[in-house]
Amino acid sequence: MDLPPLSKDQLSAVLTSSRSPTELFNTLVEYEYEACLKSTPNSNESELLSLFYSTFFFAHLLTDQIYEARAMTQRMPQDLAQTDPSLQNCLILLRAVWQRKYESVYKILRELPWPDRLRPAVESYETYFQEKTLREVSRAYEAIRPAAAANYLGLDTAAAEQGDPAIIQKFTAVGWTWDGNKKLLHPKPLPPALGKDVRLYDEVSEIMALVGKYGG
Amino acid sequence: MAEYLSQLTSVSPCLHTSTPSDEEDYDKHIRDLITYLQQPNRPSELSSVSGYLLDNLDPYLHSLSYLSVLHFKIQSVQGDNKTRLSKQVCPGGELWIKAVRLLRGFDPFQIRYAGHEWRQLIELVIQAAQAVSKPLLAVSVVRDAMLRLDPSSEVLTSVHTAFMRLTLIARSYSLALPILERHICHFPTLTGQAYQKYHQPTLCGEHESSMTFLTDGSGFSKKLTYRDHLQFFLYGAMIYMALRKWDRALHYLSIVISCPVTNTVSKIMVEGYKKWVLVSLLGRGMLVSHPHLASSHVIRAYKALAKPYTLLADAFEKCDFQRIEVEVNAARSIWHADNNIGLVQQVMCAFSKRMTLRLGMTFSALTLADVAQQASHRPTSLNEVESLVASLVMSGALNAVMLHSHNDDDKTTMVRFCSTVELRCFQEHDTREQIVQDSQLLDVVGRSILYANRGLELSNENFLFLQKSMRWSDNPEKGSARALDELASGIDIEEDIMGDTH
Amino acid sequence: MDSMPPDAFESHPPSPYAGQIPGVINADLESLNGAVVSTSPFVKVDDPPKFELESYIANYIGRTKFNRLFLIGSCSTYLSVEALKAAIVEAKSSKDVSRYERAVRALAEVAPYEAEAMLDKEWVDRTRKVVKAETDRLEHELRGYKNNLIKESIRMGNEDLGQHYHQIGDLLSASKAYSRMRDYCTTPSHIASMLFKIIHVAIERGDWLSVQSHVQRLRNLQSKQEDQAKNQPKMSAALGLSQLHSGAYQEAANSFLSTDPSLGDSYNEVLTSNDVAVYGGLCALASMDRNELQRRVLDNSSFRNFLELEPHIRRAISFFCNSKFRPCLEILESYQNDYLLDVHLQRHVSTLYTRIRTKSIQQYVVPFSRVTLDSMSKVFASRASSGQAQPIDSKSPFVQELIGLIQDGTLEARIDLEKMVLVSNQADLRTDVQTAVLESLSSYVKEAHIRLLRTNIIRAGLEVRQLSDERKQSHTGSGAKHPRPPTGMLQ
Repeated sequence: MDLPPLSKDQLSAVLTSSRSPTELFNTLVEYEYEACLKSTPNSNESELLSLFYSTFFFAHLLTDQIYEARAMTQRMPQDLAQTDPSLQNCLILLRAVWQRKYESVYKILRELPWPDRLRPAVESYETYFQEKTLREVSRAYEAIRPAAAANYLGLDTAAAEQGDPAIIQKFTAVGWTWDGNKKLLHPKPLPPALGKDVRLYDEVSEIMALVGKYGG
Repeated sequence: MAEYLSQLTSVSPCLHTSTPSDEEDYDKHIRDLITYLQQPNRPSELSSVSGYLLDNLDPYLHSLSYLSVLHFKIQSVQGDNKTRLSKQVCPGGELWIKAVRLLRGFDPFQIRYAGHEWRQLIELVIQAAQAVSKPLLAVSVVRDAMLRLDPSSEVLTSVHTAFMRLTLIARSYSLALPILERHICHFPTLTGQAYQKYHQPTLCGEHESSMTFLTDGSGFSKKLTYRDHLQFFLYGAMIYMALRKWDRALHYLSIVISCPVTNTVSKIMVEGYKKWVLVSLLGRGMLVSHPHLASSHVIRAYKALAKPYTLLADAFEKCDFQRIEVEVNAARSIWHADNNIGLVQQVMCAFSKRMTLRLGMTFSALTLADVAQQASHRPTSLNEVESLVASLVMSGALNAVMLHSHNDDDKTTMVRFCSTVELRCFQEHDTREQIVQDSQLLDVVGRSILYANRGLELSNENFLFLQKSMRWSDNPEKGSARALDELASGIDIEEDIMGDTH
Repeated sequence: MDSMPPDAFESHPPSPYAGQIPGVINADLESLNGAVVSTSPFVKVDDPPKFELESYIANYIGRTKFNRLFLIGSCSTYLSVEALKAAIVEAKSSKDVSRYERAVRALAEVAPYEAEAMLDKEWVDRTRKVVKAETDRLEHELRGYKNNLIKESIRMGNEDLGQHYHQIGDLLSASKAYSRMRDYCTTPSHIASMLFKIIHVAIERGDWLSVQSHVQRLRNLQSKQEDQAKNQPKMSAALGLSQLHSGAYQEAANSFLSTDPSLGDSYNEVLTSNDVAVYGGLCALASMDRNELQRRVLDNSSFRNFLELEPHIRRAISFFCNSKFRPCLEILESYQNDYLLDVHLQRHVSTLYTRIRTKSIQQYVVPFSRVTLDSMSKVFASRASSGQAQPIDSKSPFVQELIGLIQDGTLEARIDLEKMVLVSNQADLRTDVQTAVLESLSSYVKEAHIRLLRTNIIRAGLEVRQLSDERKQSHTGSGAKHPRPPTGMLQ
């Protein structure tokens, strides 16, 4: 328990200094104890708590823990969750992500009023969500109408339908090809984001080496 | 006061590079300290100066003393009042903070000597957190304390069950994973085995297995009943269910439903069976075959007691959505009573997913309109179908690709199912993960079997058995010896004959 | 032998699929024999069959003649009057009153103004009287023989009585009388003749289990070589018939195929050589693959004698063997009406045809890794839809049929509705093995975990037990698995 005490500044510091979403998440998990201790009805810390829980919520999303995120929204102080606008927005966002409503996700992230201190988290989630979706779409589709692709990535669908070169260029930049005659994009599967679990590879490679040596 | 302090600080963590004789010395030191602490007037003396002592004792260096003083203090504060907690003990209170400080930083070797006090402290922390409706406060504290005491967490204690319950109440499911992933394999060792008289390892030593100090007399666990372990595994399964880890949940439920029984079935096992049916539908899309370790009369009892569940499973397997709806509506009160309504609703949702997945067996490519016609049980718009299929494909549940057609007015979308060959590169990562996961469990189980074997060989029953079998084989053994002699002499004769003929 | 009284069958409503379930004995013949009067036959054939009634029925003798005529009369709208009239004539020439009445009733339904549709009361009464007198006489004679204890006379008395009962349509009594002959048979040939009589009645009764068991008895009979050679064709034919009716088409095919051509017209009271060719050919088509058909049917020199009688069956089989499925199916289709009017085949035509069709589809797909649905539908889709040359899509009946076949696991393939092809499933051994290995690894580890836990639970005395049990156990530690033995036991 050698963490600096929980404060808004500390939260912002954690948010900016964390090198990876996992690190951010792990730090915030530690703080949940303190936040929980602080939360009492009518406490004057509601602003801090709201910031903490919404940051924590985004940390869940950034580490792809949607079920755990839902559980978190259920265990945060319920009176606060019902009154605080930014926590309410989190709940709306959760629903949209849960139901895979791409258009609404981007809309919520871009248009709802998020507090300034939360901005970095919101923005990095938007990027994260966009990248994740791009990876998924590129694997799921072999040919896709630009409007649908733009919808998945939160781009201007109307412009995409017209074949706006700026938007098309965004897709060709990641290796997709554009068929101007058929007005279709042909995605190229992106390699799944791997390499994070080196240990996993080492162990199996060892086994494989043994099999190669003695199995023959 | 200083005098007490010097007494209490007489023991500090030993460096575990020492020889066995040092270990015995250390053991003696600790036992001296315990004798000192157990003197009859000690509680009142120490609790009166507890504030000073607790401030000056280091929870790691002098864990045992710290725990005792804290224990005395809490007892004096609480008195005989078991139900109402004093404010000092409640979260944020002075003693709560001290307790948390100790639980987060105790020396696991010293604490082995004070199992009862340790467990009482944990139970108090759990009780206090629940008293102020913030169960979460206790979750990580208790978990860290458990892992600090026994990093392998392979022996089930009553604390485990209480902890699982706590995480469920606190809805902090993933916090329980470090405990669940370590795989419980044992129950507190029985003391009173004959061999333990001759071979009693010192408590403070480094041991291969935590079973050496987590015995039924150590106080780390209440006396367990079958309910405790059944509950532990059921709660564990529920945590995995909340995290949608169906495979693990199914394994835990299998443990619950194949628990050994004598002539009766526990209600918890029936609960487990009900959930097992639903989870197997959700995880595998069908009713998996029963774990064959469960005896047939137990399975029969389950089937009789969980009729609506088996009917639902049957309808699900037959892909008959209307019947599913009928079964779900018919037994609505039962789902509610069993607290399984959430799972049942998920089963309903899983149905269209399963139907879509099944298409891959029949078709290698088809249009979305065909998907809608073949797989959905009610008229749905093409957009809905597209988003369902897209979500299945994008989440990796369905191995397929989608193609939009270029035709503007005819917006058909083709769904193409991949053949297994194309899938290999995507599977590689999952496969590795599965291998590593299984190998972890295999490792734990393999090691545990070794211990269990050793324990069984050294148990009183086995000695009795050996004794008996030795007595039985007394006479035949003599007989065989004689026969051997005869055989030897026979060979001699033969050799003689050979000699003669030559 | 009469373990199944005819009443037992009444509870089975005639269903077109009853014949597919082995063991469920058909009710159709039973109903023909008056035990059940089925008012509405389950098959109606409107088109004229290929055969000519008069020459067809001339092949048969005995009671099967009426049964066949009556079936044709009640199922074929085209031939009903002609067949029923012939049936009435046939019935009137015998002593079976009930079937005469039945035939008249049936005719009255389709052609009330025909002269034959009026019941000949005088004949009925007269015949009844004659029959009654005859029964009494034979029973009386038999009683006399029994008193005299002359074995041979008792046997013959029973035989006469059985024959009489058989002629008047009282099959149950006939079968009983024949069975009573057993104790008085003195030579193998007596036993053989008795068994044949029982089999004959059993066939008419539709008691196929009894047919099978009696054929078995015949087979085990120690008789002379030449007798056996003489009996073999009839035995095989009867056995094949019973297997056909219990839905064991493969076995039925084997039995018919091994029927010796010396059968000729010697078994016309049951079936002709033409029937053997048809039954055997269809059963073989429905149950064998191309190689087997070629080797065991077409190249079978003795069965060729039968096939020569029904050349279209031979053609159908050789088309199948040459993978020309369309002509094969067309031939069968064109003869469907004939087969639907066959007393033994009627029940099984649709099942046999479906199997043949399914098998053709399977065999058709074998050599391809992908086939266009279009070319397949040219072979297999029914003429009506392919004649219009409409493009096939997911809703066309042929595709629906394929979907059904894939889903029930008959066809190892998948449909590609994008390119409109049928893609055969390629077994990817490598992936299969990998998946299987992973699966068994994980189930092994899990089971080991559960077993370990169970051992430890029992060792710690934590099994689920009744509460009273638990208390008792903690005091005494009774039972083999007592968890806490008193300490220091070994000292």
